[in-house]
Amino acid sequence: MRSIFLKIVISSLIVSIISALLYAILQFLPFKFVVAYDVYVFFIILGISLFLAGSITEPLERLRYGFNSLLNGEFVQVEINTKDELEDVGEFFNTVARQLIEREKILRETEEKYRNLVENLKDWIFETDKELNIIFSNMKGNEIIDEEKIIGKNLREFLKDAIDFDEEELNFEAVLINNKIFEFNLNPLYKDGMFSGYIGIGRDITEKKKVEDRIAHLAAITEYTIDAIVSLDIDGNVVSWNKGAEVMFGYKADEILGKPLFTLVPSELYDECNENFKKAIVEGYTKVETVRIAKDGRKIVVDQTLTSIYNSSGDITGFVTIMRDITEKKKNEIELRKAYEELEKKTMELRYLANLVENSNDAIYSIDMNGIITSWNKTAEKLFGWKKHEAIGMHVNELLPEGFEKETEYIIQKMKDGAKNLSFERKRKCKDGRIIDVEMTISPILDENDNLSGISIIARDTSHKVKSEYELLKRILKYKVEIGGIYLTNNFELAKDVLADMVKAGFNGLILSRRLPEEIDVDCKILWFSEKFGKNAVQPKVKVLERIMLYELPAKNNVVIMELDYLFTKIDFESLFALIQRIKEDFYILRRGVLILVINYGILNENQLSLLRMECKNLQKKEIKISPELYELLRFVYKKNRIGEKPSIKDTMEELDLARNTVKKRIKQLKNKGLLNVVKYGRTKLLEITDEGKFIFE
Amino acid sequence: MVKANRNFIFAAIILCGIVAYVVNLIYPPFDALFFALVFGMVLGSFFNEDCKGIAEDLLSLTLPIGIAMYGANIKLNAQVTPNFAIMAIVSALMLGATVYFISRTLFNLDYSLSVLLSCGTAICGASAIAIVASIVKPKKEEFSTAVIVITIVGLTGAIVLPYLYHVLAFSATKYALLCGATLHQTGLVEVATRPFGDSIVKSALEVKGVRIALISIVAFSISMLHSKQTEHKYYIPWYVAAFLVLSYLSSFILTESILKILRPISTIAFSITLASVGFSVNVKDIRNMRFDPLIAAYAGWIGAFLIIFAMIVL
Repeated sequence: MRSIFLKIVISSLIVSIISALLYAILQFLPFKFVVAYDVYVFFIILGISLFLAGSITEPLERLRYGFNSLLNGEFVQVEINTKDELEDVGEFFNTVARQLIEREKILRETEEKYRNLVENLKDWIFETDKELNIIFSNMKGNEIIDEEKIIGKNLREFLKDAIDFDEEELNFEAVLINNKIFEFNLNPLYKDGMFSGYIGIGRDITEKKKVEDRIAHLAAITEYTIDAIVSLDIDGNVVSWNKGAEVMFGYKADEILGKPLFTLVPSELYDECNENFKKAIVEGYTKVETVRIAKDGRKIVVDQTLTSIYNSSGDITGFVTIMRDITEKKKNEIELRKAYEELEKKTMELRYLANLVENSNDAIYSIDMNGIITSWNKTAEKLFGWKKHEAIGMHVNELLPEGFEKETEYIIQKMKDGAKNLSFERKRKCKDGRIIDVEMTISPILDENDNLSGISIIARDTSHKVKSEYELLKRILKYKVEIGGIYLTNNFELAKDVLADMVKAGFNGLILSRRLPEEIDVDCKILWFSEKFGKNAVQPKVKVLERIMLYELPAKNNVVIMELDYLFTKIDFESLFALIQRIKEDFYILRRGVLILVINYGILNENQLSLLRMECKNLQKKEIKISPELYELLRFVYKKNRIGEKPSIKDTMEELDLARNTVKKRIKQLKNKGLLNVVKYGRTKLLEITDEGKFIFE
Repeated sequence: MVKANRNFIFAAIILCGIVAYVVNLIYPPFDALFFALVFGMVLGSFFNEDCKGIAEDLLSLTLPIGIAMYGANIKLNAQVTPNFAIMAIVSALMLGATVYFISRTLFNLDYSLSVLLSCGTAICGASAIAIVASIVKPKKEEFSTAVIVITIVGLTGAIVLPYLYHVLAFSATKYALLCGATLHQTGLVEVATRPFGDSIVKSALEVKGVRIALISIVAFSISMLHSKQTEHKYYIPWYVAAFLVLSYLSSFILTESILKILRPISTIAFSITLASVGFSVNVKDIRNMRFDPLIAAYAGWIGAFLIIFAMIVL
């Protein structure tokens, strides 16, 4: 049946017929239950009608379900096999639904494609309402703005600077709150002819700005650098010319642009320049030191780098050359080389000097201004016994004998006062405790500013020399005295004679006595005991005597007479005896000379006298076969001959303060005794001792 | 649509069942179970889907009790003649097979609906459907459709058979056998036979009792078949077993005085059950089932009836 109308008619007819039949049947049924049967027939007809109506309308329900599904985006194929208009409607629905679904699918795919496009754009795409509140944003917005939810927020919240809008298209750059720089393009949207908001694109140009700044920065560097940066076309013609090039070569940009680089090249270097271009083409770059010519004809030595420039296809489009003026640098290099050679030379000299110092026969060492040893050569090691590593850092006072500690302080002060050189003979203590004689030369060490930074000391061992001098003195003196010895006598005249003899032999004489200087009559220093202060007055006190004897006397070659009579009246024996013992030790150890104590034995008791005699020796006169006058002359000649000199008669006259005839007479007597020879040297007569004469002093 | 609370709906459904029973008491041709179903459907049409859900909750309580108690209404007679018994069994088998065959092959109905229609036609109408439904677990609309379809077809039979008896004037015994062997519900058997004397009613109910007794075999058989088909566990609900036990007790053990108390309670309980079923039925769902189940049930019943009629009357 192709008609729903027909179906309804037939259904109605069926129901009617059934109803009629059933009610016809009811006519034949027992009247007793007729009500019940009527009711049941009603329900039968009702039920049949219900199912018939349902059968007709059920496809509509399917269609309704199909439409509902379609509305929910689902495609449900409606299957209606009623063979009527509803089946046609169902098929039509299926066709329409399929098309709709296909279109929806296409729309969805298109939407997805555009959504992906929008979402994957690097730009921030957004839409705002008319108050600039964001109502749409792609995902990029969240990434760029660093705000999890930007929907509903006002665009102004993300901008550092305020913006004005007037419903027109807006193009502006703005700094966001996260310091990113954005370029915005806002196009107005209209709804029903009324402004409804903006659709906007925000592009992050932070990096672009940075690159632009960097390029500008680099351009500024290129433009204003002191190096000449010149770009050339493929033919070698100048295309760009920076300020550095202007300064270096003197050409302004408009003077040189378009001209070949050879404008700057001396003619003799054309070939070299061509070679450079070839090398740059083949190898990409070339680096040379060469000469260029400035506008004023001045030749400039340059360090030139020539680099090829390539386009995106890898073809050479030109060159860039960077030239640095190294003319001054070259000059400086030459000067530096000379200075270096000079330095090398000086270093060699210093090394030579250091070698000399190190291997010198003299002990050479230095101290700083605090007296700390700072250098120490090999000879110093041998002389004093301390190894270099032991000596350096040690205080120089370690080298001083007891009682001489203030010497260092004195020397440093002298140097500070401006002394340039000090030379003197001193005693020094070795590591093993030995006291040796040294001849010292002390010089200041100045730093580069001529400030005193230390002191150098050259010490030469003179122990043997001193010893031989002492031996000589022993031989030539009239009395048997030992250097460093103390002698006791009650004969002041004898003591005075010994002193006078030794003074003549070169000793420093000193007499400490209560006797008045006029009474003594000896050519030496005389100090007079007195409790009062005055010139050459010495107080009879142990401390005063100790200071004079131990600290104020010269280091050596002293001959001292000390008369004790007066002192014993002022100082008790024990104190004076103790002082004599200290002086004896000092004289003996340091070989400072000879001390002669003079006393009247009567003022001492036996014990005191024996104690003194234990400490002192007696003065003894040598047995000399010739008269004292002849001995004195022979001794003068002997001394001179020992040092390789032969005195003339005139020298002898001056030395002995004698008249020529007296000298000649005494020479003749000595000559007759075979002790002296007179030799002629030109017209001068020189004196020479014979071997027999020498024997007198052996 | 009326919205109501749970207790109100419970009370309304129970009242439907009781009113249906009272109607039956006042006017016995009005079957209590049929009217309970009708009252339930009429009442349910005034309530929304939520309320129908509440009725389904009540059904989960009233269905087991109703089925179990309905056993008290069953009267099996051990002294029924073998010919009647055989005829009843053959009729039941033919009715069930015919309806199932037509439903499945000609109208391509679902298995569950086909089984429900088949059992309802072959055994005892709505009560058989309720028992079997507890095993095959049909959809709600299938259950509702089966109950209504079987009721309509049963009512048709209950009207047509007296007419045939009046027109064809065959023997009362054959009429009793025909009614007991072909009508769906026990109440409809009474409706069809009562106008013609108590002896016919009694004979018809004896035959119907044989058919009702088949519910035990059918329940076991369907449970086994259903477990194989659906791979569910072999299962017979406790209330089916209770129904069978109570059927046996009411038939052979319990005295008439006890049964006089039990039967009204049983009828009221099952009326409430069918009122719950009617309340939960959605007429729209039934409409969507189309005309096919009704035609299938009619065709199957008419086909089997013609054969049985020929076997008994001719």
